[in-house]
Amino acid sequence: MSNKTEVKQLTWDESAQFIIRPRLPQIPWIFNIPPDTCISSHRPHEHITEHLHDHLYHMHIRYGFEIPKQSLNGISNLALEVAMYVRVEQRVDCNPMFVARGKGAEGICLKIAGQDVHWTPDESVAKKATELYKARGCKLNDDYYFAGFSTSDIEERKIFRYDKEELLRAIGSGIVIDQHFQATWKEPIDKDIEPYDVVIYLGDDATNYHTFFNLPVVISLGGF
Amino acid sequence: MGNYINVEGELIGKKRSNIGSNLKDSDIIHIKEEFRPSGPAENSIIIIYNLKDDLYLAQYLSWVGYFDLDREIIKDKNNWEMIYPGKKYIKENVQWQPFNEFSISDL
Repeated sequence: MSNKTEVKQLTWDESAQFIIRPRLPQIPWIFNIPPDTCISSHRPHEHITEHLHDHLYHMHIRYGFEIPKQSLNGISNLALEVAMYVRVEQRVDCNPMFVARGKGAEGICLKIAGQDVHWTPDESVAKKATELYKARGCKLNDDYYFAGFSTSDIEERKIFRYDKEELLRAIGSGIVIDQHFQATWKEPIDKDIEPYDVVIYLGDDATNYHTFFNLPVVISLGGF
Repeated sequence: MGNYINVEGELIGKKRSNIGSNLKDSDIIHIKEEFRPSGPAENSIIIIYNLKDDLYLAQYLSWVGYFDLDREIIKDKNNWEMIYPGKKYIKENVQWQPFNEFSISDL
């Protein structure tokens, strides 16, 4: 009998995780945002379907992300989470996930489980992002806060969790998605929003996998 | 001080006036059609303050939907009323001042 102790090495896919990788946005001109632009402030303008704050001064926050093919071992269902580090005088709201450009400046939404992906504000996600950010040694600035969201039902009033099967069906052999948010003044005022860099948290409510990344007003080559 | 408009939309909630305030209850309206440039935008949410008898002032809120009312009711349930589903709403001769250029307490 051997004295050697066998140590089983976990492979990357054996612990439950839902992998999301940030990248540059892929679909220009949705909401009239040019290519390779993550942050862009606009004055009030004409109505665009799915645009939430076109009648107010607003700042677009946009990034791309990839959900690679993965097993989702150990996951039965999950809600996706996002948090954005924005100025305290402002609120931020989420658009659906876009997978293509539609008519004019509109986007075409990703559907999971037969419905567009929606988001609802979630204070627990804001707290989670704040704690994880601090745990990295990052300092919080009193002028900013994390606004947190979870995926929701269509009315955007209840958290919605996607089943493993629904997620696997949507992910297929991997998908690339653009996500749009819009920040605006909490109290609507007649004033431009000066663009600023925004830190984003992405995660889920079933695993410990999460990521932070910075969206700069002007991107650097090779940043993603 | 803004122009006078007729407001058409859906009543989704009310903000109760504070005790001792000169204001009456305010209406929260979801605008369903485009009324710009003279009035509010399609899919915007506005608040209509009742300043005195027959004197109304409307402004944009930065709200998006019922979840904003959910949040306010959690913070102060005595100050807000939700109307779900919304009710058809028409009010004539409302002063329209889209942006918050002064505090309502200044009135």
